[in-house]
Amino acid sequence: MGDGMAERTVSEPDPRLSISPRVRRLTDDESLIIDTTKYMVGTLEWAGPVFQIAVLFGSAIYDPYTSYGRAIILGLAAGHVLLIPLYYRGFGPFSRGGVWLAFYFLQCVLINGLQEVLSRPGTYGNHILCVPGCNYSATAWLFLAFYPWLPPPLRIRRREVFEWPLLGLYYGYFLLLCWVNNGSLTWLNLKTCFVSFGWLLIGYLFGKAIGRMCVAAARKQLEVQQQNFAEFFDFLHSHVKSVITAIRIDLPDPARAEEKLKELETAIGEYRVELLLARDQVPLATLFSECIRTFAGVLEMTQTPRLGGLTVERPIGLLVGRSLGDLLHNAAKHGATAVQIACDLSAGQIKLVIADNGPGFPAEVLDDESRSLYRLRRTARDLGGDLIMSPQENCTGSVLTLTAPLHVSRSAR
Amino acid sequence: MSSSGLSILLVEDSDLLAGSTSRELEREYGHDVTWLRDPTLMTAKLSEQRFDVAIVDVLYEHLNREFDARRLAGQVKIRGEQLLITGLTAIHILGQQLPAIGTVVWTIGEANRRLHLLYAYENLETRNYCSKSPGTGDFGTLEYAARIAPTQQQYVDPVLNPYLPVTRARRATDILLKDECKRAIWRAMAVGAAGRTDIARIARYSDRTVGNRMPEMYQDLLEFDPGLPPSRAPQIEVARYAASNWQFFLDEAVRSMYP
Repeated sequence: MGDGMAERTVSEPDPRLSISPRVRRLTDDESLIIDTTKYMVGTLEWAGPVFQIAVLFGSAIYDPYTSYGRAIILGLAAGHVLLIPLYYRGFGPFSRGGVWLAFYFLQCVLINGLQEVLSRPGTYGNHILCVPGCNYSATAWLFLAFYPWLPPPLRIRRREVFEWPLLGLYYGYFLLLCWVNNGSLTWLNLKTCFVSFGWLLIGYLFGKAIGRMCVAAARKQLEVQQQNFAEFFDFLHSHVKSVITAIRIDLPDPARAEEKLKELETAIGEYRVELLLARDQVPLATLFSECIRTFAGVLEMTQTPRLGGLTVERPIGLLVGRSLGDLLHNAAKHGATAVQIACDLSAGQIKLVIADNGPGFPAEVLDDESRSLYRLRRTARDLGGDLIMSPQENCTGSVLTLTAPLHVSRSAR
Repeated sequence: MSSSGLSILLVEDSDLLAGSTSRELEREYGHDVTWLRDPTLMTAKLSEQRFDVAIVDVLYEHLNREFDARRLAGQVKIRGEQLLITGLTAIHILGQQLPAIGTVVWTIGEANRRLHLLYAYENLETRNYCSKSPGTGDFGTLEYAARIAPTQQQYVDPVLNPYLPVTRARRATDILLKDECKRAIWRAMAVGAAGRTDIARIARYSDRTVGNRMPEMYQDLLEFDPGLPPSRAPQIEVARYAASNWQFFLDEAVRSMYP
């Protein structure tokens, strides 16, 4: 063995390898819910200013403002238009988090306060529908209801203990504004503020519903993950561990151990193809490579195609994978020893040609419903392609050509 | 180097595989094997020892994991610091220091190594490829590839042949990495930026430039991979491609050639 091997042996720890082992996690922990929730807020937040524009615009038209007050409220509505692209691009207060949340609530408090200042004296809270622009802050309560705004120990559970008093405070704030505007509080003021509070409550409850959706979405993700892990765990147990045990038992008989090893290689290869074909875009080179590997010990691959970076949509990947598997399997089963595989891309079509040196078979096999080749051809035709048999020039073996469109039509998906 | 054996440099991260491969090449074929776990120690080794051939793995798990952890934590900068070291770095160093040495790319061949294999073939002109798992169970193919590599002959394992480029196509780097701005955008997306503002900040171009380049980059991608479905959201498709091939777009050897 050379110097490098002598310098560092397997037993010596390599300081550069002191990375903590990968820890997988399949628990219903808060972080998954929080990530999902934050993502959801990021996608929804731009709708907040849209709603607030509608509220301000409606308020400017229907509420009893002074004449310049009306103009200011309309100006504010117009100013909110600028917030929409900002929020859409991820610069909204809830997307940013932290102190920006406080600014957002301060903005709501100030706008509601300004509406009182701009209202004609003795009119604020004197209309049973609600105080002017009362639902301006409803979006803030909607987002707050499901956004993880509390510090970690208080998150998820018991948050209502903090949120309900805050909502109550806002009711008190409306009452304060009524008192400032009217000089006293009437029964009508109390009722109007209660109705106004009702709008905020509706926003808050909608937020709670969205929060439940986020939790459900996170749990669904987890369920899918758990299912995938369970399948993989089963695969490791039933195919890998049990075959390794069998190989160990058969070690005294190398021929049998070799056979088991081949079995293990095939099982792993098939599983890899299965995972590969689960993608929406299948890398064709990887698919061909896996299929060629499976049969490389059985058939001599005298020609294989070069495909570079080409990928295909999943239905085409499934068809090509199945074709390669079936045709190579048939070739090996019927005594072929060598195979040529060609794959060409032209005019939006993939053309796969597999030629073997086996005994060949009549073209009628493709019309026999009991044969796998018939089913393969039907699938190819369903996708807009075909499977045909070409005559061999030297009269031995078979040449099968599969054609398929590069892009699948919606109806064929 | 012995009378009939070669002096082989094996750059492979798996102790198990490197151990048995070295043993086989030495005992069965009489070669002299020096093993390095990754290309970071290669320059020093090349200055003190002469080799006939190098057998090089593509991705090194420990380097990959360490870099990915930094990438996911948002600690990778696309300028000024070293990016991911892969087998391309090893081939690049070999090409610079020992142009006459034979090189064999030794890999299992996976979807995330596709672009590396294309780059090795098209840009670094490596012509010998051997699969770690050839399916035949025959170890002799690696020995054969190693033996012919210094003689400028070619060997491509049928299992790896599909990864190599179609001869009539333009080089992947000519399509995807020709433009400096596009390279910065690819790298920004490969480190995890998805929104236009984030991409612009990391790539150091304006939002508008990023927005204007995105449809062009998607067209480039369609030229490189015509199998991608038509999309109305080019940025999403480009970001997806960058994310699934981040090891290539953040490859140090690629960046040194395409800064």
